[in-house]
Amino acid sequence: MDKKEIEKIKEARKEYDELVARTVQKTPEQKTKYETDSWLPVDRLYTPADIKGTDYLRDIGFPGQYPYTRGLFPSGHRTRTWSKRQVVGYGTPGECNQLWKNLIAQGQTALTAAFAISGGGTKVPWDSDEELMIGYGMKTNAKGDTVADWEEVLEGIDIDKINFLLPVDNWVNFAFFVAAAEKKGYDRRKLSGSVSSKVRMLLYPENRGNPYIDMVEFCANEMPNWNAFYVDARNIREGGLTAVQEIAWGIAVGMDGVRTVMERGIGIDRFGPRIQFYVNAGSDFFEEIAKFRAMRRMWARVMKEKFGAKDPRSWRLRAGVQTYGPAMAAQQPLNNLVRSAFHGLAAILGGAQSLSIQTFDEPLATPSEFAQILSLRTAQIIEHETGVTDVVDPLGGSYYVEWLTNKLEEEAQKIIDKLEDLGGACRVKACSWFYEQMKASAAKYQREIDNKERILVGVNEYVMDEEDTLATFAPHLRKYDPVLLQKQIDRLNKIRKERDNSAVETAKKRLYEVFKARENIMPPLIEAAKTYISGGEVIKVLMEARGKQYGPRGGDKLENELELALFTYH
Amino acid sequence: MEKKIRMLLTRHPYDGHERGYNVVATGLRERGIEVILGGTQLAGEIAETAIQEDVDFIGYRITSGEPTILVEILLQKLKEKGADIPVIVGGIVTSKDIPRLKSMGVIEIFGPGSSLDSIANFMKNYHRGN
Repeated sequence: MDKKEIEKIKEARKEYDELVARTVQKTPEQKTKYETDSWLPVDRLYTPADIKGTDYLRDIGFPGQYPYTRGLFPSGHRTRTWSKRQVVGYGTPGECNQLWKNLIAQGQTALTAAFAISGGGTKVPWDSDEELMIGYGMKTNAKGDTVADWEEVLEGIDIDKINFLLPVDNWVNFAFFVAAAEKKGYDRRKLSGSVSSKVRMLLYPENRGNPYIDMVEFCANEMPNWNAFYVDARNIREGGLTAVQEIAWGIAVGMDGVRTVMERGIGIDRFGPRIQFYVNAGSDFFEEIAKFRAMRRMWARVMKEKFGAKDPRSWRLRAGVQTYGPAMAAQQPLNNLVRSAFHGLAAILGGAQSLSIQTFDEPLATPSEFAQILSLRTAQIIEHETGVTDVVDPLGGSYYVEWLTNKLEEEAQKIIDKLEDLGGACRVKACSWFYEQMKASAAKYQREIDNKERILVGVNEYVMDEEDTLATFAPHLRKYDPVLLQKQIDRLNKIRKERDNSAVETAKKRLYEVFKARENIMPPLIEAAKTYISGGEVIKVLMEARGKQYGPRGGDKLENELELALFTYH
Repeated sequence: MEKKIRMLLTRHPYDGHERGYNVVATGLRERGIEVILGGTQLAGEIAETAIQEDVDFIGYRITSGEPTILVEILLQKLKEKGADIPVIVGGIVTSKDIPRLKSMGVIEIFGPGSSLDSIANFMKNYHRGN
């Protein structure tokens, strides 16, 4: 639009503003201030004048083309529908296997495996007979100890047809998964999926010997369809970040990670196409949609212009989405079905590649199968009944959405600059600063709920007595069963006794040498896993090689707490 | 000047979620309570820290674990060390478990939707009463 036309619109706007002023004088607006969930003030109306600096071809462009604001693929969800990827898993490996099969039969096309060799809020694998398991084991996400558990949990599942996400941020777990697949006769080159991994971890300050970078290098060489470079902005969002802070954290962590992998001498286009982002989708509908658009544009520019990536696939920010947990209320839990449908819709209108919709019972217990199927159905209804996937980026060109996309980018860039000034997002200084930002946002949000400046239906308004509601769902909620934990411990002891222990000892020696030499740990770890070494045993060898005390949490206290705070889920 | 109430706020290492934990810490501090952040701790570590820090309360945040089992272990550890420090539980506790926790000795349980004022006021009243 040329300058003259913009001026005409601005002129005409004055008349509109006067009309508004008169109307509002008679009938005041509902709220005294209007802001997005990131506390960005919003006007009541947007026009071409609000996006006058935007150049269509430069800043918006076409789907499937740089800078990908309108989506990664030319034909959007018409050609590539998103993966239906619920986060699923609880109980023993056998129970978990049954649950996975049931959901696949209901149309789930990908799996976020809430099954791992470690579990809960810890990153380091430990064995089921540790004190840590008491009160938790087999109630929350399913936890295994050896490859035997992975073999059981994968039984009867076409591993090369289901795209896996291993969300528990854990390189040992990844090696165990690959080992189990290979024991079942699958070719590692054909496996597709992602593993949650932070390439620049506080606990592994050096490049050589950092098992997360080992994974990236290993996959670049041997698993072409696997994403080992994984940027998690989603989980920390739940700690209280705003959408703006989530964008900033994602892009800044990605940048720090890219530099770290390049330092090891791996060319950007060897791993760039396999970078996977994990993003949230919360309650402010348009802000969430604009967030995906802004993130894609920012990442494309960072990869192309800052890091010089040449392969267009390296420019594309692929977003896996899990919707916003903290919006799920324990009060009147069925309301959560409605909320998460809107969250899922925002993710799809934003152009997400995969989607896991939070279950309505999430605030009460580990998601039940009953609730998982309802979440899956929500995604299927979005896909088949709403028609929103018929047109690519249907909200592109909305004056508000384009303005908001620009605004989010601008605000996020300020935070990215700050994180870069502090040495890069994944350094202790930057993390400490950002952690305080996160806590401040969470506290502010809570104050607004307490003061009723922010209304949450059924939580601080429209409250009702609902003892009966909870009783209705009680039979579906998962309970702790100490017998199941004991069964898992017995199983581990049996494996320890029956496996070829001389092979385990040989594997341990090899692992020790490789850890000590700081060579890539992945190939020997996959081989070691096949001897039925346990996750806890692997970590003991690592600690010994590094001269550190073994503990189920490992590492220095401050770094460990920051690591937990910023790199795990909330 | 009246001495500030001191509380150790803590959670189990398996319990990764920490948003509520941070929000409660900030909220109680704003309401004049001195909060010592324990981070993630096993029962023995909690008891030790509580004694060392000479706190008036232990706030045990549990969301995904089994409250009755975790609390029983914590109370046992406190008893072994001869510490008589009142325990408050926050997080996800079913209505069925509330009387059980109380009979074990937990002084109060705060579930989802509890306001920060209600937690702070409870602590102040309890402290005054003792």
